[in-house]
Order: sequence, then structure tokens, then C-alpha cells
Amino acid sequence: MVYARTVGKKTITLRVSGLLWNRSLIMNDMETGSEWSQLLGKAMKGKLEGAKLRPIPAQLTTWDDWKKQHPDTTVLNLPRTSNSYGVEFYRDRSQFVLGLVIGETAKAWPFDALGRERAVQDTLAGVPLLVTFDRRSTRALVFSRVLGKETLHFQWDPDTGELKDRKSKTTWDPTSGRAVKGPRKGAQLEILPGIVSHRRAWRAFHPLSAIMR
Amino acid sequence: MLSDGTARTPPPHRQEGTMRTFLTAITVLLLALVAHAEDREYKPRRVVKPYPAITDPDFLPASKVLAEVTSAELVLGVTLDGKARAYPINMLTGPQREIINDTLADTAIAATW
Repeated sequence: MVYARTVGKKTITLRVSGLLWNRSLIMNDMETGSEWSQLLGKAMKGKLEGAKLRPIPAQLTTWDDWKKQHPDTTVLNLPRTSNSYGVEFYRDRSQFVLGLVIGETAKAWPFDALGRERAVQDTLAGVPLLVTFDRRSTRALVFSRVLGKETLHFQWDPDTGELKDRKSKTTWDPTSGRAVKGPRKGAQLEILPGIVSHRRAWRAFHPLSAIMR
Repeated sequence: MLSDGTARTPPPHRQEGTMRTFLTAITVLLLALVAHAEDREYKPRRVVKPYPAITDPDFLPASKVLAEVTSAELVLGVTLDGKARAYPINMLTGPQREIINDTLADTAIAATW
């Protein structure tokens, strides 16, 4: 996941602490040495204990898919540390989830269920959501279905296979959450900071999380 | 209509075990709350020494990325204010590479794996 590194007025620099909590990464900031949970985005110990990092919505997808979405992207250039993280990594889709936390409530949508449905409407902590999944790239995203004062309801067009909102029949791109054709063309759904996680890790950090069947 | 993501639960039994069901439910809830509290207690374990922070790493434009990253490889992709950046997961494993301190569109960010 991606976080903003500025907390209040302070910008911090994070390193791998060498500590694990529930088998999950703990980070240190160089400025105070506080310990941060990567999965929770929160300082667990030290001077900044209780502080939270603002999550920035990010995608886990294939290079091919990302390059198509953003042809002018830049790419990190460091020597490889492994060769195994391709789309086959998610071969057993039931073991991976897209998770979201709103306030104190958590929910996760497993990749196998998302793969079946391609798009799921849901609600979490009163926020209406749209979860989309691309089978080829395993890209899983979650958007808010609130647009201005309205909540949109989506359906697949039986003739064209496009994703449309019921009321205006506008066609929406499930990758970007943008309206591409019809009365609402150009409108943008707000993307929320969903996290791709091993199912077990998600359960360890959010034991009361609902999980879609 | 799109699928509704609510979790489905089986219908409750309505036999002579109503009180038993109630007590079981209370016990399960208490255990879940205890488990929740225990899991959330911060007890980290040291596995290795800390790694140096990675800051200001090198980047390439998409056009210059040829054999370095192949099409089916996973990347962590982020956009901010119209600027897009990809972090190939095969460069983020380690654990020494799991955090990349970066700046994108004038915003200080950390890409983590």
C-alpha cells in the first residue's frame, strides 16, 4: 500500500525495522524511531504513537495493464530482488482479498468471489461502494458510489456488457471509475484506499471484518 | 443487477435449543472480543536488524523500460495530481526493499510491500 509521509507538519522517512507483528511489517521513522504498522498505517509505539498515515489509493495490477492506463508513467528502477511476483502469484484466488477499513469497520472481498462477479455493489459503515475486478490483471479496486448528493446503482448492460448506472444509463469504466459515455460523461467516482492482502493477514489484523462469500 | 456483497448466513435453528443458542452466541461474541483484544495487543518480534531507509530512488520513463519489467509482472501503481508511477513488486521484496520513500507530484509518499 501507499501512504503519504507527512503527518501534521512533519514529513517522516520510513525504514524496515526488522520487527514483525502478526507476521506483518513494522516500519520505523528515522526522525523519532517510532514503530509503525504497515497494514494499519498507524504508529504503535514511540513518540508518535497513535499517529496515522493517510493512505493513498494505489493499484496492484500487471505492468501491461498499468502501462495501458498510464502510458506516461514512470517506473522504479532498482535491481530485481525476485522473479516470482507475476499474475500467477494470485493463482489461488480464494487466498487473497481486497480489504477496506472505514472508521472502525472492515470488510474484505476475496478475489475468487470478485472474479465471479467482476463488479460488486456493497455498503460499509454506511458508505455505498462499488468493488471492481479485472480477471486478467487481477486488479481489484473499490470506489464510493456517492456522486454529489446521489448514490448510484450499477448494472451490467445485457446487450453491450458495459457497466451502467441504472438511473441515467451512463457507461462507466470499471478501471478508472470515470463515466465515459452518456449523460454523466466525465464524472469521476472517488477511489477509496483498498488494500490487497493475504486473507489470513487480513483476518489477523481485522478479526471482526466481514468477508464477502 | 450487480451481485450484493452481503455475507450470507444460514437460517437460525428454532428448536428447543433457543437458550442454548443464545448462550452459545454470547460465548462466541465474548471469545471474539477477547481474540480481538489479544490480536490487537502490540507485541512485535525482532527477526532481523533494521535496514537503511531507501530514499530518492532512480526512475525510468515507461518508454525506456524494455526487458526490465515484463507484461504479466505485478506492479504497485499510484497516481497523484495526474502523475503516475509504478513500483514493480519484483523490486520490492527483500525485506530490505519493502519501503520506498518517494515524492510524487510534490507529495512525500511511501510505497510499501
